[in-house]
Amino acid sequence: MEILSLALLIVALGAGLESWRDWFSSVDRILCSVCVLAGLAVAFVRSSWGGEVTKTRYSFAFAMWGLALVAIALSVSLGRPRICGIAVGLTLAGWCTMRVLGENIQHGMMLGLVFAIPTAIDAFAARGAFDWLESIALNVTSGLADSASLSHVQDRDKGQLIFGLGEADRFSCVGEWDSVVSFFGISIFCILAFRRNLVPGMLTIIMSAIVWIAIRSSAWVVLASMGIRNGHWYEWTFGLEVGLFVLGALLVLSIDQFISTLFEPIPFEFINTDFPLFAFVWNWMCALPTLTVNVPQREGEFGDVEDDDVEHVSAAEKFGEGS
Amino acid sequence: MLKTMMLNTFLLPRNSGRGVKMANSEFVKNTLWVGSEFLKVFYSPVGVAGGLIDAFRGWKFSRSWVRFWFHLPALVLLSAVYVVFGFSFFSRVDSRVQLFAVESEKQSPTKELEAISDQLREENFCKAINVTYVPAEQSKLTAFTDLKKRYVELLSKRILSIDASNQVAHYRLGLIYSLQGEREAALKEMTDLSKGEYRDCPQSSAWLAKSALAEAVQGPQVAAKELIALLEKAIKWKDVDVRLISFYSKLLEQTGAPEKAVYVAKQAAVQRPEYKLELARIYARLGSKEELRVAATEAEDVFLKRLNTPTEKQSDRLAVAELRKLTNQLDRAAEILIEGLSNKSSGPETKRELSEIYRLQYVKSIFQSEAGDAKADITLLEKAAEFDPLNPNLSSEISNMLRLKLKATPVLMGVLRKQMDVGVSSVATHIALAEGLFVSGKIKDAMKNWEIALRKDPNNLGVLNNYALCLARESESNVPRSLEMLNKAITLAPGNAELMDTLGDVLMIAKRTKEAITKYELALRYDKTRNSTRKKLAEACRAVGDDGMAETYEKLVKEYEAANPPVPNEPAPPK
Repeated sequence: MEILSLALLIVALGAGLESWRDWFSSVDRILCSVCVLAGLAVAFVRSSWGGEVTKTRYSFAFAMWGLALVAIALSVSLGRPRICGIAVGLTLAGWCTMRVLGENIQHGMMLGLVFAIPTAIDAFAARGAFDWLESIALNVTSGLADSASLSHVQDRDKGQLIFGLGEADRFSCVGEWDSVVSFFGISIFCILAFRRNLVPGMLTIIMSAIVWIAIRSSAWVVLASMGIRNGHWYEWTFGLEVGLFVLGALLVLSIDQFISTLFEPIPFEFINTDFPLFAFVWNWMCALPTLTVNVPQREGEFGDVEDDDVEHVSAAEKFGEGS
Repeated sequence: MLKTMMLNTFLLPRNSGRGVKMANSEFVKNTLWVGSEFLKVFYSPVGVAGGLIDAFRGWKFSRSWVRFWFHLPALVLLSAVYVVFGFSFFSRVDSRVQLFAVESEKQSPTKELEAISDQLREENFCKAINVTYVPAEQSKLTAFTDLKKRYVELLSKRILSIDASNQVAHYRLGLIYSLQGEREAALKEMTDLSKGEYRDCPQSSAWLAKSALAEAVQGPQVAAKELIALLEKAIKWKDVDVRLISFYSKLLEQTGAPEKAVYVAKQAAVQRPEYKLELARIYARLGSKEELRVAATEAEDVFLKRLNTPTEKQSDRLAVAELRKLTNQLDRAAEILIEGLSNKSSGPETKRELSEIYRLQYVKSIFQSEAGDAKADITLLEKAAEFDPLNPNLSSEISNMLRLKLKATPVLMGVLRKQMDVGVSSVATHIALAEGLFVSGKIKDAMKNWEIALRKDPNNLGVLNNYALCLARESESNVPRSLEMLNKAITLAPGNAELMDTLGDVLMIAKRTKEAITKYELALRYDKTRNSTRKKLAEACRAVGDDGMAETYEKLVKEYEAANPPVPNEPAPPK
């Protein structure tokens, strides 16, 4: 199994060498990788590894490896090394499925697919997602500038920053808009390290983009107004970039914690058997349990319960694991 | 009963557990369960409410409230930013416009485009505003390739296809046209912008003013009114070329708006401290002494700081000298220039300025007694000649000596001769010489000098007036040329009483007395204080036999003399 995974991994890495080199060419992307790997390390440590390999696991793992082979073949035949990034993710997803036995299959797959993040990010970038984000950031900045009365750097009628007429130029030229990638890295760290599920995870990713916009535009507006008041422009330095990243990381972590307190599953004992649907849907949203007829039963209400008690206890544990 | 049945049918768990594949029947069961639970909304609303309340209690019970309150501020902070400003982007311009604008700006910043566009006409512009031209490096021009040009043009046009009135795109397009040499297209864009078709755009006005000035060097002169209108708009631009501001203030001063000129010059001085010199010059011309003193002191500080540093320029020292000159500290001005003579940076301009200062000291030393004798320290003028014998002001000063009946030393006469030989002598020199020679009766020599002066400055009213009269007096055959010269002068300065009076004189010489009378009357209409003209009128009337009018005019002359007794010792105005 290890040999198979390793072989696939080497082939995928070799075939996609170009895209990896591309990936590590920007500081922001390296920072993102560091965050993701740290999150992954925490996730591995927190996962339970013991357990038995079932048929389902076999089928899932081989499906992953098969898909990885297809991806490699596609990548080589189409000459698009980025697709190998997906192959790497699929290979490791297969391995995790077979090795992280104490967790469910989706968890294992997720841990492996984390390695496909660079490809996903590149795909989004290539389709103009970052440009779109940049244009939103510019609009938010001009809104901030508007309220900070920096009237001469923006057009009052149209409500947009005027480029080429003064301070606003510097905004378009400072820093790389890529830095949003490092913020995504922070949110993925939160998801992996704190075991976020679908809803809180998605919210954290969205919030990281919003934090990025808010932080950078506020910094720009503050610098611009300082520059205007003091008569000279403050350069957008590397130190500032680092400071904004640290501040952003703290904000994203904090907001992730906040969101997770809101989106924790409802404990089993509080699910009313008269109307369990709402609580079940909520828990499905927050913790992704299988939506089954496993309704908890209050003791003594329905006579003998037999073996099912055991099942309920384990289900309760399972539902409660996210908290 | 129903509940038990439902539970038995759907809700009791069967075969649930990890790793067990969900059977098809189970899927049906689960779906039915979800459906039946949903139906409770209708048949057991109280139970639903209880279920929701329990779920909410469970939700509330299981929260970590410390974590909640601890992390709440971050979200509040972020939401505040987002709610206040984030929504504004929905009402903002098409995001593609922003994208193209940013891309275009990254390709070549507008500042760079402006710099290159300016570079192309810098030489002519400098000529137009009398500034020394310093050629810029060519690297920027060559780095701006044709491909880049076309790309930026394409992006600007794309923006305009989405947002036709995008001011920045229009401005950049205008700049690109000017770089490509499409003058008409560039002018059209810039004129539209300057008129405010797409919101105020002072940059375009600055561009138009610069190109109008640059083109005026070779082509037709630009009307001052238009230029003032453009510059008025241009100076609102924060980054406007400070030379334009300075030029504007000069223009304002010339067109009779000194207060505004001072205001504009102050603005230039704020942008570049060395333009305080310009401000001091304006104050000096306006004669406001206190303001001049303050401005000159400030300006002097600016330039003095630069002296005796590695970056010192000749112009810095000259500026200090000029400022001291303006504030009448001629000795100190000479001092600073003599100190600078040993510097590497000093050139012929320093010597010329030094010569000028000594000349001014000489002018100050002139003392005229009541009897009309004049005294002056001629050594100062000699000193001036020593530093720069080719200073054209020297020759006019030496020729002035003739009029003052001062005796020029051989050294000075040598300087005068040399300047006239070389041809650097100024119009003023020849005028002064001609007047001096005329007064001393050397009419032929005087006429020669007037002829030279006229050649150097064909539109000089004084020369035209005096030379015309001199010519007519010399010989009656010269009258047609005299009349021609006077008519030219009158078209140049309509309403000038002196010219009209001279025309009358010439017509009298030509014995066209009746015409002369109308000219004299016109001269009197222009200037009622001309008693000499009244006298001439009386004589002319008598000459044509109109004694009644002649007596009337003589009476008027006497009345005027009685009302305005002549001031003793007032030097007669030179004609």
